Amino acid sequence: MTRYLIINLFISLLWPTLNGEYSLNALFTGFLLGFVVLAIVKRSYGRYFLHATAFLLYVLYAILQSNLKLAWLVLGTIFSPRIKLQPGIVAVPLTITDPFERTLLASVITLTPGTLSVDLGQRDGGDVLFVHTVDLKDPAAFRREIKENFENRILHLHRLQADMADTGRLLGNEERGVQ
Amino acid sequence: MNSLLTDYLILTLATVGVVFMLISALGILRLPDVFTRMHAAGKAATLGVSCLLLAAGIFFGDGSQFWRMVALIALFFVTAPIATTTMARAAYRTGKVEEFRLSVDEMAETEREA
Repeated sequence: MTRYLIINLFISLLWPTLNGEYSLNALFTGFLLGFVVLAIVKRSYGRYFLHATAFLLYVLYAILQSNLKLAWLVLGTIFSPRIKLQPGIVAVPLTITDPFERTLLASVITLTPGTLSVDLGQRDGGDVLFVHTVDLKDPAAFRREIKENFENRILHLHRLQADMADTGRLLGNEERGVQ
Repeated sequence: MNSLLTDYLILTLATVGVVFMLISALGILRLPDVFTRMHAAGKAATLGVSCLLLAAGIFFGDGSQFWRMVALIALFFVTAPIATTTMARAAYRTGKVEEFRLSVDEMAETEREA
């Protein structure tokens, strides 16, 4: 993954140099061209990058949604103080094992609709993430929602990344570990 | 025409940012317990600050300022949730459970079993 990103960055440096035009725009164009070239040579890199971008956009969308929901909630508590909130802490079992991906998941949960990750812990012999939520109706449904919305997406990215490491036919020897 | 459009864009972004900051502040005042307040502080503030930063970036025009703001927003999005999570955990560990308004608390159940 990192290797392709570095190659991509080099190509994006090459483009302004060949054009004789040093600006951020040229750098950006170079990056885009490098991405296209690399995505043709190495399909899994292109796929990974696109899916990662899609994930990022999804998170941004979820953040926006979360803020609108929260704003609604706060305004609700101001105009009708009798409103009933049902906050709760739910244990969400984790399938993800990689520390970085767990951090990513916890951060994304904290940033999105009415949820806030509190702690990591053990429950029934497996690792769980404790998530606080503003309005809890059904813990099981909530758990499913978190897993479907975020964890599965991160797992999907993880698989794509693994794909990229495995199928290294096109870029030759370095892929197979020959120095 | 173009500059008028950018002006409106800046105005809209700044307004949205300020409104979210206001809601975040109101939320901290009005919501019932630590965690729900943390929701207000941790999330509405994130979007509010990013909108304000973007508005500032566009206002100061040239590319370098704009990209500086984008970098700031990215950093903010990386650090804010981690800070929020850490504070929530500290609050949970040092506070008394009776002080929290929780309808379900699977964390306490788990800690009792352990």
